[in-house]
Amino acid sequence: MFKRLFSSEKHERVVLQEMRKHLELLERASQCLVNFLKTSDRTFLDEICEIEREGDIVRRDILSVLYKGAFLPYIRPSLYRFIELVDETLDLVEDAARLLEFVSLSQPLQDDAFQIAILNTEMVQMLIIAFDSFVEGDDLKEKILAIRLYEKRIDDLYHDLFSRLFDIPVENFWQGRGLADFLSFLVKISDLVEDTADVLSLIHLSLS
Amino acid sequence: MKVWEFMTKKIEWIGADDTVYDAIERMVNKRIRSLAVLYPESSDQRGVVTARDIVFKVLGEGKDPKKTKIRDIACKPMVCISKDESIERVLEIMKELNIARVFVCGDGEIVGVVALMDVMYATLIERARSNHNNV
Repeated sequence: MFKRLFSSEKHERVVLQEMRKHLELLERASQCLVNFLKTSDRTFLDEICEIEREGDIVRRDILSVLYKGAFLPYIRPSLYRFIELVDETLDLVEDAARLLEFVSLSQPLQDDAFQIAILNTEMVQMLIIAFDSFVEGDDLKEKILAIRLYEKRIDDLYHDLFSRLFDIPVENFWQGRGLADFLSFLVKISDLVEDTADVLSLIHLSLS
Repeated sequence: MKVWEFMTKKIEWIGADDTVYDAIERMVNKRIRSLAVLYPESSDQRGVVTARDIVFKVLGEGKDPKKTKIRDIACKPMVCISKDESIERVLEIMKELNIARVFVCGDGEIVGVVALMDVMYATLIERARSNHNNV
């Protein structure tokens, strides 16, 4: 779609390339969180922090190009929203990873958290597929539906997990708080990815 | 997609000698449509009772759910597959045996269940992915 409308416009092309890069960073960070959960290797946490900083730079770059006049004014608010949501998701991945360093997960919890983290990563991959389709001018419906299905699956897993949480013994208040926050951050990632997909869908609609 | 990616881990069990009424209560409370059945005489034997069994074999026949035992209506053996099987294989089994759910086994234990809705979700996700790859 953009390819057809703005192929000759440099600013628009830069914005789209940077948005894609932003999403790729989110995918890398999500994958690092999966690896961190799996191995407890602290280098993955460091990598996530590094990616988050890189994400901030990309976000600022996109905003400055948009400010210079890329895209028609009526689309810009949705594009800003999209970029902010991706950035918020990156922050959340970092927050979850930082907490993971301090909380101890029992085996069944570890398995569930691992599965949610994998689904989050797959969801981000689907968001990238949707973004590519959007740029190419293809239909987004099936990809957006797939993202919703992922979100529903994660929600189901969380509700099941939540009902068991109250029976899990914790050493002290902060351990309990850390554990609850970690799990809610993990689930919130999928909510934000779904919101991002909805904004993408909105931009797509407003251009059609 | 592999089975473990879209299976549900939450499985509710009921004893073969419990009544159908117990099963109805459990299904309503937990908002589920099937229960795995345990047979006290043998730990290897397992079955499944679904809302469909209850409606057609008990309520539809005018039988008293408080007097009917689960073992009288449960289906066995339980159909099991490995968690590394593909979604296509699950679909084949469901079509072949005309069943709506397949249990997932690992290390001799039941670790999950895959229902028709799970298969539908997984198929749609795979479709969205493959459509993109084919472009």
